[in-house]
Amino acid sequence: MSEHFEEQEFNTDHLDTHLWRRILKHFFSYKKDLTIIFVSMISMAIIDIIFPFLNKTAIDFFVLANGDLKQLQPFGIAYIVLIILQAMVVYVFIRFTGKIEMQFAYDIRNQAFRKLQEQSFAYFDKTPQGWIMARLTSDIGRLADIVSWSIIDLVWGLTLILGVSTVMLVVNWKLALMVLVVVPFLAYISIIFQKKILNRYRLTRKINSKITAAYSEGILGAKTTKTMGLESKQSHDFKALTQDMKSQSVKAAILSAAFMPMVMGLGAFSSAMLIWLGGQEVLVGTLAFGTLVLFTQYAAQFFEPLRQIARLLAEFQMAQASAERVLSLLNADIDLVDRADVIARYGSILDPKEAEYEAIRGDVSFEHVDFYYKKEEPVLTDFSLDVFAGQTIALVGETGSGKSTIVNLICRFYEPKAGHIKVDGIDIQDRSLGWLHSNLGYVLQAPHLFSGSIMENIRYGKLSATEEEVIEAAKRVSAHDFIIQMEEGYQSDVGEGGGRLSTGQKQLISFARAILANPSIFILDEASSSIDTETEHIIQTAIESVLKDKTTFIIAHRLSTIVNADRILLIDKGRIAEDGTHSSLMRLKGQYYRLYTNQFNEERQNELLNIKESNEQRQL
Amino acid sequence: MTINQLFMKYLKGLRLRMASLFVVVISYVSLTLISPLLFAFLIDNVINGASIDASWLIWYSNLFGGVESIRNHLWLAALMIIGVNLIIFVLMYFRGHLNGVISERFVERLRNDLFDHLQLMPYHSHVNAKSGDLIQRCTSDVDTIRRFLAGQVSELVYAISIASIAMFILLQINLRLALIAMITLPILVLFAYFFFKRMQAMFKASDEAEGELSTVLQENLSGTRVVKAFNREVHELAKFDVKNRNYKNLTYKLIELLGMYWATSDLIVLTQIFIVVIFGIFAAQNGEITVGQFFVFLSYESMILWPIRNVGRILSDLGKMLVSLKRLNEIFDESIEDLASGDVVDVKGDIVFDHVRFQYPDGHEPVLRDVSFTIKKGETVAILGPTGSGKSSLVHLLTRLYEYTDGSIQLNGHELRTIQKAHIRQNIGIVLQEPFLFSKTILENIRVAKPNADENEVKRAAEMASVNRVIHEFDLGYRTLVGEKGVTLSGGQKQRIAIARTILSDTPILIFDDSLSAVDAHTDERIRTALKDRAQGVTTLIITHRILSAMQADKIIVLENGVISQLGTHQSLLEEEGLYKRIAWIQNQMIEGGDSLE
Repeated sequence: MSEHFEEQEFNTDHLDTHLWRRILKHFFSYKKDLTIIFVSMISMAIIDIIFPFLNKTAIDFFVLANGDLKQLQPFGIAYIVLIILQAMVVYVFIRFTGKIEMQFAYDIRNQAFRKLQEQSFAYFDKTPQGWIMARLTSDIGRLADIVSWSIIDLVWGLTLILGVSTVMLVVNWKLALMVLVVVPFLAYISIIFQKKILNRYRLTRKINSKITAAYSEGILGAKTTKTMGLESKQSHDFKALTQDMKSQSVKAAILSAAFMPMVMGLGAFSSAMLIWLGGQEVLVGTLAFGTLVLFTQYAAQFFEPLRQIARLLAEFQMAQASAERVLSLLNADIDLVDRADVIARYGSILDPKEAEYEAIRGDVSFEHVDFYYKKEEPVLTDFSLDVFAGQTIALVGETGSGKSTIVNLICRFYEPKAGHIKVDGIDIQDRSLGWLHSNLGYVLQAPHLFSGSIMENIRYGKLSATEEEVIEAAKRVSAHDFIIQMEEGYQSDVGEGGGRLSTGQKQLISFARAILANPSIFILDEASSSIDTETEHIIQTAIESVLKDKTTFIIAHRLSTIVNADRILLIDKGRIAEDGTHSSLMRLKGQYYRLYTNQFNEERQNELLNIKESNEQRQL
Repeated sequence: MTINQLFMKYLKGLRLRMASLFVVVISYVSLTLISPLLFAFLIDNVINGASIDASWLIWYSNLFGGVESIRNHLWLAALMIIGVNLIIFVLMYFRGHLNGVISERFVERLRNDLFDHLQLMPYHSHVNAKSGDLIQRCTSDVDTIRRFLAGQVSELVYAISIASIAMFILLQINLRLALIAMITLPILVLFAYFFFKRMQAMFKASDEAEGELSTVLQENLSGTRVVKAFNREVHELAKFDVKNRNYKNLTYKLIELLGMYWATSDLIVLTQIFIVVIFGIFAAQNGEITVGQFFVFLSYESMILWPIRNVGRILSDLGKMLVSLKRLNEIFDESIEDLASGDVVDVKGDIVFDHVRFQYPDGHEPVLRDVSFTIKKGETVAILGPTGSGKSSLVHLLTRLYEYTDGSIQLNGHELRTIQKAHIRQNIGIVLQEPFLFSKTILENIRVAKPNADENEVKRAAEMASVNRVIHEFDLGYRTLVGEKGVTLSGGQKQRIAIARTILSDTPILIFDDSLSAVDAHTDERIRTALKDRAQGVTTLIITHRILSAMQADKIIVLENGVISQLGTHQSLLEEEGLYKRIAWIQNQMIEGGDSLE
């Protein structure tokens, strides 16, 4: 699927103000916490400005002027208070910024997940899972990190610079100008360098992901490499990568190594100016000695925030790509949604009005349905089918014949391009998705279980089910026996994706889950392939007893499981090629007969050759 | 190898640079410390007119024509500041440069060796390998080491040398005040060290919570059908919210604790400065120190404290780096194959198995027992048998991916064990059951073992493997990328490309390890015919389940439970009772045209 997905390329050369405004709008909704942060930050900046003042007092008053030591007490108290304040402010600042960072990430993640739950099936077909995962994990994380810490650093830096400049200008504007004169140069150098450093950095990241990919191929493809004797070629290719990585990284390191001294060189230049010109004034007595000391300290303090701001601007540019990707997910259109009047009556997916749902009897009909995934490749054309409540319908056919599509349409994972699909004579688009889905039972070939206990997994079919109901459902599909033999019984953990259970066990559990939901329409999608004969027999019995009075659609590869279906439809190129019971189709000696005979023989051969699993299974 | 030896191995050739880095950092530190002294001299003696008592200062000022002269030409003072700083900046630059070069060269070789080692680990290790864990080690553990080398080494040297030199100078100026100025240092280091050690558990908790969040998300995405069909969107949202909230809270707690750390260490540092200020004032009023010296104490105090605050943290990072080195060392401890030793003999295609017995290194029972047969150059031999009967093991032995336990295997009369592994594998082309294609273009994939093959050769090979037409149907043809960023190929397409790449090498022996299982019977036959026409004289072994593939072979070997149960030709085997006949009978019942059912 991934080949159809084209990642939008985002331009990150310029700051996109529109985009950032939208993100900031969200960010600034945490008014209370932000207020606390800004207050603490301004206090921090003020404290940073006051400390040199205190030290100046110590020199000017106590040391130079041999001031009265009795004054030391208020001085000391002021100093201690300031220290405590500083520590408190630092704590408050970090704590609340962290809070906002996490809250922001949390909110956006929940919003994105909510959006994903509302998305149509087609969206997941064309969007790779890895892409979505990366958006919801690393991109949102990075965005939250940048907007909280960086925006706050930016405000801090600007405040400090403004504060220091103001104080310097007020105390002595001539000395102040000596410090400020280097600012434009600094800004210029910083912007040029940060851009270059950033570009290098991106380059190394790209190579780094190539190295990771090479390791992964080196390990996964080791058998092939070995049998073909490709070790030295592979090693040679890899060395080219690491060498490239090294030279690019060293270049990046050199750029950064050159940048800092340049910034600080400008700082030293202002200090030198201060000593030269300021010193002359001290000598002629037009400047207090302490003031000169104060200025030399301010000059040092001034450059750190300036450098930070340059770095932050570069980081914003980098985060922009993350921001754009996250927003593209949040803003993606949902192409399958209930009509407004339907939502008004039955509620939306995430806010359903279940009391309004009408019960379903189970008649299903297709009326002149056209469907395609890609316009030039029609799957169903003018397809009609009537199924009565309680019937068991088996769909048989090759891959791509359209049988899975029929199921997708019944489930309303997709909507027909023309024609209608009706349940109990009502067009399913006149009812809500929630109404249809709460009346469906669905068992997949590759059963999907969620991490958690067996109990939780079965209960997924009916969240309000009691333990007894869950056990009852498990018993009906004969899963109870193997479950209680497990160490923790129903509380046993199934592992990630159900990994601790065998495929057959997973199928039984997913079957129990569907039965617990007690739906009116049942769909068994290739449910009984790739399990052993015994389990198959158990499921067979369950199908017959449990699903007796339910409308059931079965897509099965193992034709032996559908022998007893009320109707077998052989689907070929989007049409019903053969329609009848097993015996009538066998008499016909058509496609079904051929499929059935070959499969029968293949199974016997596989028994001889001991092949239990199907090809698909082996590839997993 | 110990961790220490491992580290030293990669430091080789970088020792001189490492030494230069130490020299650069220590010079840098010295000059950084001189800078305030210079400032003090300029402020104290030059501008404020204090008398000079230190002899080196008199000597120094005489260089510039005495204090008076400097006072009258204050631009000299400005030049001094700029001069010292200029040297500092040059040193700073070299520090960054050396950091980059040392760390990058170190990891470059480490990465290369890791890659080579992984490639050379025996087949058996790769069968059991946990690839995710290995990749993790090769990437993030290597990065941990790189980051430590790139920043922390020089930070540590910097912190230790600046603290010791500054302390030394302070001790020279005033012993009592100097001791007071260092009183909180041990507390600061220990506090930081233990704090970050303790924090590791919390970092882990936060990482794990993030992992759980990803799992819920991932399961939701791969279970979209289930979620939608059961109408469980609201439930999923609640589930996600729990994990999302948990991750948020844990990480928030972590940040809170970090806030605690920074606040507390600020408190310690500032208190220490305060102590120096107060005692400095007393000392100055008593005439123990001058104004300039007071100034020196103040400046040095911040210079010592902020880097020392880092030492605890660097030490805890050092611990992490050692763990990473240990994890990499575990990879290097795995044994590797020796591809180069052994004889290089003429492999023409004659194969003899003589009472061969084989048992997997970790197995309990032999997989092959008493297997004997002879294959002449140019013969086609089919091997048939149930799953687990030892068919694949047999061909693995032939390529020395595993060593036979007993008996003898000979290629043209040479005992297999004595032949060089690389040579064997160059002469035996094997197409694996589940071939791996590299994420390169199809063209590059096919000529991977013969890079100098021209495009026509590649196309001929693809033609023979019946995959040429498929490739042409892709938009970019042979330039189509395989894998994540390119096309997703079906199992049968992969197998056929793998066949093309194997036959391109013109090896005297060709093995197909059930490698036509995913193509239909007609394509299978087309490929075999094409091979037969081209490769006269090539010995071919075909492992298969299809009677159609086996029937034209010169010899058919039926393996059951590690023993040859039948051996003969299609005709002879049809005449005896056994597995071959039974399978042939069943396959005969198959109806033409029904094959394409999955």
